[in-house]
Amino acid sequence: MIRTSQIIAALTLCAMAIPAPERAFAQDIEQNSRLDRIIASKLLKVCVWPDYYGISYRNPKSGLLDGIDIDMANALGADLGATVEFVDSSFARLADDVLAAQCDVAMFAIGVTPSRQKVLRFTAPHLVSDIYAITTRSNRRIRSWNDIDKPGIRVAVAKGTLHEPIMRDKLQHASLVVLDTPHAREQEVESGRADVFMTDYPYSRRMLDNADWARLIAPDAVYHLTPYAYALAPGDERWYARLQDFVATVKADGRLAAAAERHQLSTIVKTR
Amino acid sequence: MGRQTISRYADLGFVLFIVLCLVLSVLSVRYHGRTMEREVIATQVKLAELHTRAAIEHLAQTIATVDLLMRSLLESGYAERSSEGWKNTLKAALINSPQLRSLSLLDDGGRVIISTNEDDLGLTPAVDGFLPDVGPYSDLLRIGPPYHGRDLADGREILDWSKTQPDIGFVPVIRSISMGEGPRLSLMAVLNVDFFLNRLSQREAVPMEFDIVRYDGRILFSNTESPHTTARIAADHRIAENWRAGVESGVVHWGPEGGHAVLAHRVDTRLPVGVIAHISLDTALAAAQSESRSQQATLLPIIALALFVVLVAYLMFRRIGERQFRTQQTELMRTGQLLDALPAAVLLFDDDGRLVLSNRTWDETGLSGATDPGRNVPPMTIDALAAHLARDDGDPAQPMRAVLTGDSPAFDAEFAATTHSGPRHFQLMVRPLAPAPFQGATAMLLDVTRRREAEQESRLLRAAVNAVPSGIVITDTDACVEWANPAFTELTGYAIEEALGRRPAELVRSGLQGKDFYKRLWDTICAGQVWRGELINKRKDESLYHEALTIAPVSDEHGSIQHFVAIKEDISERKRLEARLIELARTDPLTGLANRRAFTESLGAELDRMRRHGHPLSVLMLDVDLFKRVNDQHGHATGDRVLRTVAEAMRTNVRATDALGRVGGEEFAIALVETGGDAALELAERIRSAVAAARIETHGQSIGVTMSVGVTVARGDDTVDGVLSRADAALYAAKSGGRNRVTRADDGA
Repeated sequence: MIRTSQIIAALTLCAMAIPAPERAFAQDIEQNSRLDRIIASKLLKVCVWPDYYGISYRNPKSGLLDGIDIDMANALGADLGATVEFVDSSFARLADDVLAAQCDVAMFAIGVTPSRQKVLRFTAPHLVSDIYAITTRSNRRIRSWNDIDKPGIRVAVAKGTLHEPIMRDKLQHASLVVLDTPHAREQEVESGRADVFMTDYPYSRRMLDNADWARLIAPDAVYHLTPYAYALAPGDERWYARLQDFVATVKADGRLAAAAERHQLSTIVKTR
Repeated sequence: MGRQTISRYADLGFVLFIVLCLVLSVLSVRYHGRTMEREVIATQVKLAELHTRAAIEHLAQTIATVDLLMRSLLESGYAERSSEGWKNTLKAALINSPQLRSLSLLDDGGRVIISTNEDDLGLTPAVDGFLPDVGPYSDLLRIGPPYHGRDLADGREILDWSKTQPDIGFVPVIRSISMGEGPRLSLMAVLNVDFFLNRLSQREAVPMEFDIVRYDGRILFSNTESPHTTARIAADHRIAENWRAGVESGVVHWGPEGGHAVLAHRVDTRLPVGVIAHISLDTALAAAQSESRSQQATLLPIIALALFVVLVAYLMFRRIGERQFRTQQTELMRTGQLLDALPAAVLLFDDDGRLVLSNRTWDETGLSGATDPGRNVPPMTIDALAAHLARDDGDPAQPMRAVLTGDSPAFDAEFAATTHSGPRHFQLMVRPLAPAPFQGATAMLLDVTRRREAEQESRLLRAAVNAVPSGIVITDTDACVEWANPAFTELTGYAIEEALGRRPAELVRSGLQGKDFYKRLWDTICAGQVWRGELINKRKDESLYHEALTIAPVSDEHGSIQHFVAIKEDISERKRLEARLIELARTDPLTGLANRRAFTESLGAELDRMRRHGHPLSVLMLDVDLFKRVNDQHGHATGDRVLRTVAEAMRTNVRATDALGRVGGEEFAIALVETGGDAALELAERIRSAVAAARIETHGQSIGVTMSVGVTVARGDDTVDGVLSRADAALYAAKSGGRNRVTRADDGA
């Protein structure tokens, strides 16, 4: 296993080091690839959502970013020989920021959804998460996953997240509340204005770790798996190839698994 | 009480002890369980008080914050805030206020004109049941009754908690403001009871149920999800009554059977709300009882097992102990038997000199006083023993005490003591008891009376033997001298020291006895018989002496010879006298020649020798002629001189080997050995002529005598008498022929 992946990595490196005639040709076509600019400027700009616990979370006490994708971004910067500059973004602003070249790549476990794929290009996924619901401990209406889609139940989602279209699609009896201010989901649920909010594995972990009142409602069976990946603007083939190569490399050399272990995300990490 | 009985009682006692331990263990575990239950109750009560206090503080603080928020919103917005401004302000106020579900602005008529929840707009919520009851609108915060629902729009007042438990609820609070003649504005906040319940429900580990109760006894909300019992509702009402009566906090035991449940309550100091915690003791105790039971289930078998192990160990140790005791008992018995079997009396004194142990021999000595049972015998002490043994040359008490105290290593002495069986001699040995820790002394008392008597006897015997004139020598089986008496020295000239270890044979053997002699001697004594004999021995100064020797072998009880005792007597004088007597008996005193008996013996011996060797033997018979006449004419003295002269003449003419004897008054005989007839005739003629020539002086005149001689040659078959009679016949013939002549007998030669 290891040997095979090492061989693949070596072959890839060889391909990178010795430009084949085809590659040279492609290089001529795409003169202004981000990759050249990054290597030249030694600066890699990475979009992150600083509220994404376990993924790209700015610790309010220290102001420092922490999470699996912060580790991955730093690894990518190191591989490219570039300094990493993190640019604050969110799921709502994701497409704008990436397409407006606010950053070279968005690295905050972006769910690969059809709507996003229309405008963005995704690397191979490195995480995969189902949907989870967070309610309060004292909520007497929500006991299990099946209690969610009932009349009178208010389900909160954050605007622009992958959960918004999915829940809009799936909910038939409960009413959906779409919120676009930071932490509005939690506040709606905690104050009782909403009964649950839908989120993914990393964010649910944050709630359980940090909010005493929070209670996790997990789906009884697989509800809706979403692969998470890095997003970049389409069109830059060499940059895309480099990023794909990076994802394959960190999966193969164990850096991804180690980072997932460090941030307690081993259950959703996708190392193949 | 016997040892068996004691040990049986000990066993019973130990088993009882084990049972007692077990019972005590059960009781103490039970007691521990009860204590634990009491502690659990006390802890629960304490916990309930704490939680009650924390809950009311949290509630009051939160409501006070809400009050402050409402007041500042009202005061700042009363005059100039636009409806859009109110809307934004209220919306902003909800951010980070999870205790609030909505905020609504009510106009003078109590109608919702602006709300964070658009569903609430236009409603006129009831405010008459709010507390404190200071009129429907007041600048005091007033707390409404409980509602079932999410917000005012879908809220229904909860009237009976025994009928239902809301799955979502709220409590409205209201605060109003009116300035001067201006319109009154009121803010109604819908309190999110889940905000409080979330905190209360976090106490899930504690089985505690909280009722948040208004001052009038109405339950606002509760963390109990099932409908309330009427008893609980009634209890809450009673507590609220107490609050109103001034009892603002405390712990109350209640319940149909009394003491089944406990509640802790506390009302806020300013707000008309309080918290009542209901604790079911059954639930709390069940945990303690289950813990106690599991402890019992764990501990009691362990204790029982431990005690069983102790019991088994006790029995094992007891068995080992029993065995050791028996072994020691046997050893002690054997030691006692050994001590009793000793011929010596053994006494053991402790460090105070008191007798602690003695053997049977001691009782048998007659010194112990044990034979006088009628008398009260004082306890035996080392001093009393000393007193028994006191003697003229000193009291032994002092040296005996010295051994006891360790000042002296030993004390040995011999004593005479008078016992009931008479005077006896004892040898006393006193030794310190070693080693520590038993200090004291042993005294050993050996009756040596017999030995003393034997020594006395031996001394007498020795004196007697020493006084005996005969030499007495005791040798070992190799004949080496072991002992000799002074007479031996006198006899042989050898001092005893010189003789010791040497054989008498080396000292005194003269060589005059043959090997056969000694062989017979050894054969006899080695066969265990007494040998008696005489022999000639040599003194140290080389002089010979005759000795009468008796040798007696001395055997041990098995008959094996251990010693030889030789008694030597000097018989030289007797031998000499005997020889003299023999000589006297065989010699003619006048002439010194052999008498007739001695001569015939010699002749017989010569005849034997002649027959053995074949040498010729001749016999001469000689007679003085007319001797009667000499006697008659010249007297017997002259006659004796004549006979002596004639004997001398014969003696000078014969050889030493020839036998010569006076066989009659004037008759003589000669046996000529290895002499034939002719030589005999010639010798006879020489003797006849020598006699004829001899002159005897008597009374002044010289006289002469002649002799007639008969000669014969012995024959092989001759007897002594035969040959003598034939020689006599020849003599007779010579007499008849004219005397002074030699005639040969007709002996066939």
